[in-house]
Amino acid sequence: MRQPAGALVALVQGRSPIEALAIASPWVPQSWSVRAVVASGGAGVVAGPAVLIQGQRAILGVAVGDPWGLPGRPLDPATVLQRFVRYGDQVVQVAAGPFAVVDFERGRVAAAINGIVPIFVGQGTHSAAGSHAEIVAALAGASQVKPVAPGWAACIGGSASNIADVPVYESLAQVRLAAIDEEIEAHIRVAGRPTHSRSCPGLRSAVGLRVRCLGGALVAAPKLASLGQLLVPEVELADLRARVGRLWWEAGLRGTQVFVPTLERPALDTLALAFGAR
Amino acid sequence: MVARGLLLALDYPPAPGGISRLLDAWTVDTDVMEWRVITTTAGQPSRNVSRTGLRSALLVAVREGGGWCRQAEERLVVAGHPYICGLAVAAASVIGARSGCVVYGRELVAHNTKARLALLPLALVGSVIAISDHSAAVAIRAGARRGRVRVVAPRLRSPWLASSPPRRPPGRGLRLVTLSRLSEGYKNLEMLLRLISVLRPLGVVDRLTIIGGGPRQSALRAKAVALGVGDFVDLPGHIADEEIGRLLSDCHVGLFASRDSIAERGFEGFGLVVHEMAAAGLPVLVGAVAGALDSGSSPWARLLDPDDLWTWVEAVEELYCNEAARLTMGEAALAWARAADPLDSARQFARALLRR
Repeated sequence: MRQPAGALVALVQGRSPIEALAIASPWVPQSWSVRAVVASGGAGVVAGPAVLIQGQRAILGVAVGDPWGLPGRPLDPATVLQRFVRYGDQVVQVAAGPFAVVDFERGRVAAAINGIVPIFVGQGTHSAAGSHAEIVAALAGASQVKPVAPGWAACIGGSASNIADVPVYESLAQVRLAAIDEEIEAHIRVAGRPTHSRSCPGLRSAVGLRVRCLGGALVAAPKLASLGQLLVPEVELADLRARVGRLWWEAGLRGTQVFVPTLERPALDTLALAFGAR
Repeated sequence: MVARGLLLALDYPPAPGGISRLLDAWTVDTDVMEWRVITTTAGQPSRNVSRTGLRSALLVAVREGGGWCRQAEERLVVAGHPYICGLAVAAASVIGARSGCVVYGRELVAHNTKARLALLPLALVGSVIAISDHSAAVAIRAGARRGRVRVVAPRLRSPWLASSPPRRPPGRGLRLVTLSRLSEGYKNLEMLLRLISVLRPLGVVDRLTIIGGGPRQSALRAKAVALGVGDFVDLPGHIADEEIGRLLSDCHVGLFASRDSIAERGFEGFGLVVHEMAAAGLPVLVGAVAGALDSGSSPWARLLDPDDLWTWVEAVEELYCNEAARLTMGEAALAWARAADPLDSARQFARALLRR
């Protein structure tokens, strides 16, 4: 079954829901439902078909049960919200796929550790956090925003705190980046038979991300092997995530989900074993 | 007259590790087979054990084991490691015996030309004993003849045997434990650190102890700190058996989460430590891949996807919420460990070698 796609969230401190909605609305697609709510010390704006709000919490996007973050085993958003209630911010580790969670009461937003849903913070006349860079900048009254690293939660006050990011790199002789790519391809084959993305043309951000179609969704599996040739592969990985974030937004506007097994926990933890200085 | 076997071993007591323990247990004399051992491991020689260098192993095998073997009608020369299977084939040919080889797992995946060459004679070995179905499949891929491969799952007596499952004081979180070499990534210890980071804030887990030494120790400690659980993860390094037994008696759940890693070409051939944790009266959560599949059995072990953190979170939470069920699993683990008969395991090994 095709999952709804396309969502955004933004939190801002010191503004009312009506004011926040007015500032954000130029960037919200006309066909999307949009809602402004009271958040801790300010307001929150959520929009898009792939949003579930329950009380003071919301989930955006689609979470899946496959730990490699491949489509086919979608989790009921209500189930993810239950996990959010039970495990708090740690929910970002106990599901995969392109999703983010919001706690309006605490004024926090966190994306799954794959970072497919990008999160930004901005500080200007106000402070803001959310998944859409331009909206966050406008709400904050800032000219620039900062991306928040995957595995970190962003706060309405403009700060971020680590939940599940492990920036410790090793260099185990037997772990090869090209072989991680092979492992990812093996999992994609288990999930189904992907086809080339010609059937989903026009996604500018897809360039270089090796995007294919699988079960009505897009699967991006950029080659990690190329990172090994770079002096600072962590920087290249951050750039890769930024491109994935743009792809997620662009695909969401077309009603399509994006899955990226390369950025899911099993791949990331293995990648960290091959990334250290040799 | 019983059959006679000459074991050529790279790892043999006092060498540490699973292979050494396994070969020691499997080469005790039984009513099926008597054994002599030629090993490259340094130590005290004895009537049954000769110690030598690798270069002179063939000569020593023929000189010291040849006459003794020939006194039996059925005789075998067995390599205790696939890398010396060629040596066993050569010695068997000189002595007029059949050849055998014990295979484990990861060593069968050749990482370089030297290893590839060492494995070539596997095709000539008469009896290949694999310690799990997965290990058997890998041995066949490495060149062993399908019809000559037999599986004997090890069942050894643990260095310790608890009298009852460790009890958890009311209101306290679970103490989790794993035993692992800290050298390879496929041991999946990162997933266990993440498990603690999810469950420790809820009080479900009190701490995680990772017993074992290796070059990854400091990186794992840094990862635990990065996840905010540095104070709740113990990495005591390599410690003596008595100390391991004492530590296990203070834990509540054993974990063995190894992956089948294509990226590292690493996997478990079996999982002797699963049995060791069972002998401490612990339920064991086992990664359901490769040889580890054969190491744990219901009702005292649960097999879980080692890539799926959520299934481990759920399983640990269930054991936390139902102390009676945890103790029942612990009792079952102990009963299973008590029933282990090392002589029976040695007989199974000998019979599998002798089967034509």
